Amino acid sequence: MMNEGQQPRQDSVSDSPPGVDRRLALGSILGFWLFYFLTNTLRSLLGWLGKNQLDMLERRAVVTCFGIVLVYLLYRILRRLEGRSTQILVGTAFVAAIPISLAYAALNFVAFYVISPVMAQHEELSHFANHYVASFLLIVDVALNWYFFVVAWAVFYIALSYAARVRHAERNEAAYRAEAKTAELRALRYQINPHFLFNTLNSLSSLILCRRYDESERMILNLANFFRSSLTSEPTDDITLADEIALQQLYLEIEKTRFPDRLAVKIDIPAELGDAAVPGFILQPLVENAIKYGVSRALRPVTIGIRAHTEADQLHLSVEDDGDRIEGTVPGTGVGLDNIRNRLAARFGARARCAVETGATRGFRVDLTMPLLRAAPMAGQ
Amino acid sequence: MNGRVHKTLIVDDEPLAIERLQILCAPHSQLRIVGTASDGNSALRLVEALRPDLLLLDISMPGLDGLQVARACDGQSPRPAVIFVTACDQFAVAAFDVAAVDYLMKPVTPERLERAVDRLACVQAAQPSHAVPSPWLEEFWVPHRNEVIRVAAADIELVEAERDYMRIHVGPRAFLLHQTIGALEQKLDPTLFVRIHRSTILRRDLISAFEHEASGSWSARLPDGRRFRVGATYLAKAREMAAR
Repeated sequence: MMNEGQQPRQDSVSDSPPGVDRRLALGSILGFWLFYFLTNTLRSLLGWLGKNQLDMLERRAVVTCFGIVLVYLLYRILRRLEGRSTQILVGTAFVAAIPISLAYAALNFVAFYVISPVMAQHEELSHFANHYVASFLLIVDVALNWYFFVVAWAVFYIALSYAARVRHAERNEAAYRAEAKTAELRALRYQINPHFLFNTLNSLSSLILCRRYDESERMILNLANFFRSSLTSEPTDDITLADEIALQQLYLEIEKTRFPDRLAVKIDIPAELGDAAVPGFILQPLVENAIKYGVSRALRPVTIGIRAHTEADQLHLSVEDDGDRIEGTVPGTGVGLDNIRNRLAARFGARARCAVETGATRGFRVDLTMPLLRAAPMAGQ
Repeated sequence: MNGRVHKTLIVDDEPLAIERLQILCAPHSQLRIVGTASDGNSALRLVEALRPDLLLLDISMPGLDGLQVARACDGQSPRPAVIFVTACDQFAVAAFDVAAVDYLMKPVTPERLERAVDRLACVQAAQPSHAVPSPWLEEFWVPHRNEVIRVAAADIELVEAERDYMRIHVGPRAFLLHQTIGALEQKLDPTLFVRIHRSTILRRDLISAFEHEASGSWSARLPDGRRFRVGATYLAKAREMAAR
């Protein structure tokens, strides 16, 4: 029964490796160089970089293209190290930026000083006695300036990569948690309380041994009904309040066979709330607890009450018993109540509440509050 | 069928469960039901008043539970024999050291009840009631498949701790018990068992040698060649054993 249509939702867990989106990485390279290109063009427009605007613009465009290619190489290197520690990425970036800025500076030198240099640059070089030493010093000087530009891009890229990794981890974590939650809900639903089952079978066997066949028959039918409902319904589906109450009545009738003198039931549900939608089996842990802690530990008759009413578009459901307080237990801390709180939070968020109330010496009451929804009439019903 | 007639008290909080045991006991001439009780407190009152030799005792009950009733009976002389009859094996683990003749799972089959009654006769023949009980654990109960079975403490070969659990190896079988290894160690006869590690207890007669490993640590060797490391805090005990 567990493996019908219950394939884990693989698609919700992202299997693609964490990393910077390729388009974002390339965009950042272009962005950095466009920024350089525009600011320097603006500077030259303001007249700081001499005349020949158009000629300089062309050269700058060519150099920028080379720069883009060089930083793209750096990108390929960092991309290969995807998944390694941030220290390794930063270290690699600082080292790899050295040859890249030197290469860029060399190209820059060729573009502005070798190929028909304009007057200003020509004069700059002629101050030096040795042409080659001068060229070399100039290239190193430019490389040093550009080193920081290249490193700045690399650090920016590493930051993006880190953010991508964090996002990926968070997404996986969230998907994993959702999976675990669904699995837990399922497990709780399919978990048959062994105490209930074996004691019930024991009572049933006793009824048969005592030849009380009509009662045996009714008990078998109740058990079959109850287990079919709990095993075949989807744990995340809503059902009508009328159906939910009918299920709890089945359960209580079975328990009544076990505790004929100790269990009394009082159900008070206004007829007009019968079609209210509630998460399926939301009352089950409460009724089970009332039996476990209220009835089965009492030496006198205990009444379990189930009530519903509405108030300001909110549906109020309560399950209470007048059993004795048990020493050493803290009410409202059990797995059953946690399960209910989680289910209500998953279904209604902050609009649902689960409150526990205990009497001074006896009595235990749990109030559930949730938005009043009407179940859509289903086809064929 | 041999032996004497046992005055039997049935204790269960569910009336149908009591009826069922009454029907099941009827064919056994050795069992004479002298009363029934539906909670632990009235069970103790009836034990006092009726002096039964045997309790068929449910565990989960209002007021005093079955384990508490069994412990309260320890003061009685002679102590009534106890056969637990319960729906869940979870209590077997909590009560693994409560002296009981047998541990039956509801619904009890007539065959299983018959075996319990036979066992009752054996136990009483083997153990005169005036014998001084050993301070050490002699047998305990472990859940195994759909039964709770009795294991003699002397048959334990090896106990390994696994977080809150321990795995008890008895011959080819292993049982998982929700108890700490420290709690068990205190109940095992120290002349028969030795703890050699935070997570290992061995039966002494199974240790064929202590060996010094290359790494500097010591380990105990079993006849089948398995080795178990001796923890630093248990070295003194191991040296003492090795010296003999």
